[in-house]
Amino acid sequence: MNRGFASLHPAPCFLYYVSLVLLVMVIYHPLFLLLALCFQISLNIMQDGGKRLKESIKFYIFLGLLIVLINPFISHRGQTILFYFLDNPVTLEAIIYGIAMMMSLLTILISFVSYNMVITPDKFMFLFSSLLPKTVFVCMMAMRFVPVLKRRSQDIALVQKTRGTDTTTGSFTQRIKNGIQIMIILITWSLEEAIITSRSMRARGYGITKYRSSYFDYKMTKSDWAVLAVIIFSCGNLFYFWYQSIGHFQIYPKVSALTLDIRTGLFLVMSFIYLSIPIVIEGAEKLRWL
Amino acid sequence: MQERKTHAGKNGLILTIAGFVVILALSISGSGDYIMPISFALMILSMVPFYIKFEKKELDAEEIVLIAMISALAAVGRVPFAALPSIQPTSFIIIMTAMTFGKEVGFLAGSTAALVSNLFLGQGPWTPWQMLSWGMMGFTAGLLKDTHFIKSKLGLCFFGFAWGFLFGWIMNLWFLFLFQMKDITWKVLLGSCIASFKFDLNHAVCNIIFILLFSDRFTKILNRTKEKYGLLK
Repeated sequence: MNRGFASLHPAPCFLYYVSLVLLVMVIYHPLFLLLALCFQISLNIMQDGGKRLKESIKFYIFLGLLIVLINPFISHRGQTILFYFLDNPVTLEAIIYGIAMMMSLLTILISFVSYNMVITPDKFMFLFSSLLPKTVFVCMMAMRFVPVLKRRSQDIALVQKTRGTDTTTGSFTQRIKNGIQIMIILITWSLEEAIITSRSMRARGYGITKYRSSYFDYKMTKSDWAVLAVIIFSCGNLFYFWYQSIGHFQIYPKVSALTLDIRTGLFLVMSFIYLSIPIVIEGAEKLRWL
Repeated sequence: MQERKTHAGKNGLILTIAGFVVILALSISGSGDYIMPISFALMILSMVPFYIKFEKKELDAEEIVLIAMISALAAVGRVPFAALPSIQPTSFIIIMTAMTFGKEVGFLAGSTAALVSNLFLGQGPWTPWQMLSWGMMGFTAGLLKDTHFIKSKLGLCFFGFAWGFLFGWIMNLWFLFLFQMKDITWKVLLGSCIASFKFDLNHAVCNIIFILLFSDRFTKILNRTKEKYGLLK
């Protein structure tokens, strides 16, 4: 299953998503945002044919349109007044800001769809296992308990049904009480089992050594280092440009014209390099298998 | 060795507080342009001390498994109520856990439950916000656990009711920050709270129902496990 961008070491992938969300939140340049949005959508399509994106895209677009429609009516900042609505000025700046925010918001939400495909819970745990070993251990165990508890809860419900304790029939209060009855059995059973599990762990020597080892099969290969270097170089540059206000697109108080000087050009080239990293990796993989 | 460990914890804490102050100062001096990244940084930093403390603590296998089990229970708490769509006991479980095992376990159980359920449902920018909200719910319940106010049924009901709304309002704030509204006025904030009123009320009433019907028995079960095995003293 792991191919393309997801086949890389988790560290560069995680760094990429974190930096992307940060950059999209601080850079308002419309070309940068448009590019980011388009590339994230194509990344999703390359990864699984856009299947997962389809599930939530309608809600995301609704949110995006909501902000475009609402912002001009609640924000009256900006100098270019287009018309008056109920005695309140509607400004060009507020509309442009709304559109920029829509693109930023959509990029963040869509990038998380592909993030969930690339950084699986397993990789997420690996990334934090050296920093927070105990916390990750607790999360891992809780994750393992979730399917067990779900199954167990259904088992209890089936048995209880034969005794007349049913959450699907009866009055509302009765149904809640019956649900609580199932819950009580589930909790008592599971807490007792938690103790048995921990006794078993202790018998096998948990807590004897000071440092616990953990097994994960992730190693940084040469290509991982190369990708990491490109990510750090390009996103570092973009943060520097942002800090120096290069490629800065001013919206309030008066929207600035889109100009193309040499420095903005450099900013756009760097943006293109940065944003296309996962696309290039996915594409290269696709080409190899053609 | 023990000495050095506590030092590492202290340094981490000092660094966290320093980072918190710096970012807060930046956000005040700045024009409010970067409200989303700043709020993110502040929120994640505010959770760091809890995790540092947890990492530094000497814990038995029993205590670690118990925290994991309670987080998992809170995360799947909805399953027995699958036939009742608007009922969810997650907040209730977290509050009651904190009342029995104290504020630190309350925070950990709350934030881990949020993280774990999101590991199944898919992570998003909302994950840290939910972790903080549920974590703080457990933390405050643990803080108040020895006061007369929360020991009385009425006080506990009030606490659960208030957190039902608070949780919703914190998530509303996240939503507004995500929109990066330049003009978050009281009016906009109030509007978002009115829009989410139905869901918050549902959450709050759920907490009261569970507290009235279930809190005594739940405390009994937890206390029994706690005393029988001498856990988390």
